[in-house]
Amino acid sequence: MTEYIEFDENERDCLQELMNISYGSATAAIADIINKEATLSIPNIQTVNTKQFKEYLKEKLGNQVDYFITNQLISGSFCGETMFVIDRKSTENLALEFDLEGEELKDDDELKDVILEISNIITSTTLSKLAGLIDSSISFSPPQIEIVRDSNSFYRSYINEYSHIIIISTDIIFQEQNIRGELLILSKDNATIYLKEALNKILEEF
Amino acid sequence: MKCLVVDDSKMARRMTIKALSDLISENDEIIQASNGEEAFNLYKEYNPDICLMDLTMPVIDGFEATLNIKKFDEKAKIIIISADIQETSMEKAKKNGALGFIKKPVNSDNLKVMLEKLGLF
Repeated sequence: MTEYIEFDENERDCLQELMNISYGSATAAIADIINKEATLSIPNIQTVNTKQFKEYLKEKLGNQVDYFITNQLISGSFCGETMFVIDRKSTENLALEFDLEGEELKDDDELKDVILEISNIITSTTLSKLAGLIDSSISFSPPQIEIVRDSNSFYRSYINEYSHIIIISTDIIFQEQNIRGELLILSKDNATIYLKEALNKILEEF
Repeated sequence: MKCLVVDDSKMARRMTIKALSDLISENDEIIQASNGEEAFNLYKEYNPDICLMDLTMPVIDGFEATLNIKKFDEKAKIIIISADIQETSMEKAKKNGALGFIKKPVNSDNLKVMLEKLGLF
């Protein structure tokens, strides 16, 4: 059984700050595109096992509404995957900002197209910035998207490959437009070890 | 010189202090706060020459803390150091009384440029 990989207080604080910087760039990019003001949230970092992750998804997707979920695999020294989770109402509100109207707002393919693009910008900007900060190099698979109503229809068997998962989650919130989405970064065990070492290298500097 | 460094992240405060330490002397004093409320209280107590303030923080954020400090002391010199690099955030911070805005991560170069630009260094 893999040894449980935890972050101490300094490592967690450091990762939180790096995510804050990375996600700040992504949020600014989206805010710039739709020309609206976003609120940044403080990143939340949790280390969970597979069972706890199932519970996490169950809670997150437990509101009996549709969620648009994109996911992208990350490869490189920091590998894992990202998920961008946004509910249908937020998706429609976001689509309005891209001038979709009437029937287009009921067309799931049109909505998926908007979310794919937004998610791609958020993911690539955040992860590229984070990789730069921890002196790493990564690449992304093309994003995939699906609409899910509950965690059971979303949960995939490959998540079992993650014996322990770091969930780094942060919200993008456009208060006035009633848009809220969440980016989750899931890290595999090897990547977690790499990340821990990278964080300690940074901590040594300061 | 007394400098108040405000950020909820200890790591971020360390980075700011490291950037500052390249620019100030050993006799200068650095005070730290981890949220906007603490920053306001410490400002009243120590009356620092410069305040380096984050925006996204718990309890009271940097926007409100800047406003509170400027209401208390209209001559307060507050520079924002933030990852929230939206134009609207920069404008709001400025409107609340911040003199300048530095994008994270801060280093001694970008801090020096800002302090020189504002005539504080």
